[in-house]
Amino acid sequence: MTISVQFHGHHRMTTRTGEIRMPLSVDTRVEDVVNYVSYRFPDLELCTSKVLVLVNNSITAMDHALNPNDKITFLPPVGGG
Amino acid sequence: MKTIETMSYHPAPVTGGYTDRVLRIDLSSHSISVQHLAPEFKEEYIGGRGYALKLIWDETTADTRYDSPENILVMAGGPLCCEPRFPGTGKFIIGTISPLTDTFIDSNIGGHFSSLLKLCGFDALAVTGVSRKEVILIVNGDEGTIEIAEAPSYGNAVNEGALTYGTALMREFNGGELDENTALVTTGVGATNTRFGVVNSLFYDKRRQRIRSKQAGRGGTGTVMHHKGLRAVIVRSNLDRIGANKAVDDRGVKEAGSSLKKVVSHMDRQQLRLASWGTPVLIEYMDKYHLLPVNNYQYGRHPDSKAIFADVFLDRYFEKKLPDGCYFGCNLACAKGAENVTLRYGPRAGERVGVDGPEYETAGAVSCMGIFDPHFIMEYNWYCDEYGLDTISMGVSASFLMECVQRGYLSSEEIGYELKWGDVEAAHRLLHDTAIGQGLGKVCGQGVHRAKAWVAEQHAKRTGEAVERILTELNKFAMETKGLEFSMYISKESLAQQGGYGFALKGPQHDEAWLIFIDQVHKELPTFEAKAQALKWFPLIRTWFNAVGLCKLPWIDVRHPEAAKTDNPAQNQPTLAYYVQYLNSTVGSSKTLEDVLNDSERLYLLQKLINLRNGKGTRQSDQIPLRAMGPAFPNEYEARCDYYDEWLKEQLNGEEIPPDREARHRLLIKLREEAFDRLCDVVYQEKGFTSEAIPLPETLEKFGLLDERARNLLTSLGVVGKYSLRRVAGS
Repeated sequence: MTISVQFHGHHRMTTRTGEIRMPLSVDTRVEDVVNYVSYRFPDLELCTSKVLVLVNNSITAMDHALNPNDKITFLPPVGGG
Repeated sequence: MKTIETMSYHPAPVTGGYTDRVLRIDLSSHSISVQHLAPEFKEEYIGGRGYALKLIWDETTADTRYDSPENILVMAGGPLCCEPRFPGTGKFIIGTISPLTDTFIDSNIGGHFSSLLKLCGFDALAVTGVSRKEVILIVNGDEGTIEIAEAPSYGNAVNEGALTYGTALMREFNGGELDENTALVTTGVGATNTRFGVVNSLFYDKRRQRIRSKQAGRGGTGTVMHHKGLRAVIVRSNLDRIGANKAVDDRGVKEAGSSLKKVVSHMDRQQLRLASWGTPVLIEYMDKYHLLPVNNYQYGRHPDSKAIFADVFLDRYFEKKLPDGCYFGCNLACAKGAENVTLRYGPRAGERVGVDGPEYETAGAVSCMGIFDPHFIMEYNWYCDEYGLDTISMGVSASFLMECVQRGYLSSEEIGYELKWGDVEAAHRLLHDTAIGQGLGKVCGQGVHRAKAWVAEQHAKRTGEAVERILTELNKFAMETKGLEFSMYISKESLAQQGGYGFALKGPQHDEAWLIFIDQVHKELPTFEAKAQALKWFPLIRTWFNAVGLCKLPWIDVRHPEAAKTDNPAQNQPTLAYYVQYLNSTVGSSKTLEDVLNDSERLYLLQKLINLRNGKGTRQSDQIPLRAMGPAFPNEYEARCDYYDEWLKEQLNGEEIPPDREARHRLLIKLREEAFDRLCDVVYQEKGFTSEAIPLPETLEKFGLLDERARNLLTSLGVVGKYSLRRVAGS
């Protein structure tokens, strides 16, 4: 069972990919994924003051437990100029 | 240049952000005068949009239309424009009675014009009358002269272009040179032949060694300028811009500017990266969340959209070594530009040009026509600027006609060529025909509201169907409200944004409220009441930006690191604190954010009064097309049927959804219409309006707006009688 982490905008450019897949173990939480992505792509800055973390297109708490096939994305604040 | 009228003057000094002078030009009599403003004028009307609203409320009537001599074309910055030590300070507004909406429109625009106008001694320029000859206006603060002159002619090819004409004019004015201390506004041939002509704001960029341009895009301000016979305005001043506002507390200005610049520098590179990518960065996010207005807002995304993501423009077009931005000192600098772009189509094919853009809205307008070709976007951007056409209204009007073909309301035989989604050649043809007022372009140039009436008549002639019945169908996908075309976001899945578009006083432009993400994605507005509060708060703060001469982007699109810890992160209040400090330091006030919002509310209500007077202010005028609320036709429903079915299940709280798709579609539309109707009630109440969207007398009275004119207007709308208040009756 896996989950998908999707990258957009400059995250896509930094990671040079639109998506990575991660194996899901029991009790994997959003924070674990953020930590893993930060470790794998140290140039990404993913703290919550800079980006919003979405699971299946909804903003989710960092301690939220993930389910198989969940899609995680990082969204910068967009206010619509 | 042949002088018609000239006046010598001593430029008034700027004090605390103001000169308290308006330059008045009457083009019917070719007269020049200076209006001195009483000190309390600025207290009540702030600047920018506020000044335009007050002049238009006082000096026009319900019968004034865009081409009436008494219509006023106002160009005004505000007390905070001009200072390069604060980011985003080159903005001004152009306000007038719109040829599209028949009521007040203003459009904000970047560049150096308003800063130089202020240094020439004027908070605003107000132009009335209609000149029989095409003229230009020259405001030369260095020499202390104001001159109305016959517009010089440089031959048809140059005369027709807003950019090329402006470049030739600046050279002639400056003895053959381009110059940073001169700025212009111009129109092009598109303003002659359409209702959505723009005013171009031109300034010299010495690093690029060419004229750059920004546009007052919405509502046909350029059409008004053209109709007045005003081809261009030149302003010139050699005075230093740093400290030019003569702030009461210069140290406070420096501190506020430095604080905001630090936030922008630190946070933008980790958030949207507007400084590198410009607003095209939004294309990718809009596509992901089904918000890109593909094929006249039918679909929110497209498999080919990655061809127009921001990195494509960055790699192929943007000149990365050159700094961008539309005014000195802005470190967000999102106004990207490209050099030596070769035009492939149109009358200038083969020429290499500099392109200022594209902005997200321009790319969105092209996706609206089903086109995902980055080079077409660059050409479309340049031609619209050169012709002086609003890229949004042009794209939406063209897309509407394309959908009329798709749905059988127009035929290729009637048009004379195939007009279909994604066809670059057809889109080019329609663009150039619109600019010169030829063929179907003549219809397109009238905007969606008038084009749909023409289509209905044509279709009725061809089929014998009743015009009213045809219009009912066309209204489902004619993406306009109050006569203005929608800006480039799909609002179907965000009820708050449906309100953001419907209630916007100028028509469906997102500069009053862009709530899609906090509603649809963040889900921070779960109730009608929460949506209503946002639909009051955001338009007020955004109104303030348009009154003081500032760009909103450093506030709204760069989130302060402390904002996440506040109750309402989307309001980004830690950054707004810098703006309030900048205001107070400049003008010498001690206002809070609440005071600022109150100041804005006065302007907001004044604009509402103008709308009511001009027949565009009631609940009926806030209604949006069906497509703005949901999937108007089965093909849109089918494209996301799983999503819509889930939405229906949520709404029905576990009840079975109808088994047949047509019934599900009908039910969904019914629920969406009911939700918008309820939103109207809740929002009007939040704003202090009647259920017909008319301000209650006490709402106006709170802001000192319940004068005799306002009272008569409310009476004519049945409000005073119905809601008779003792204070009103006795006042």
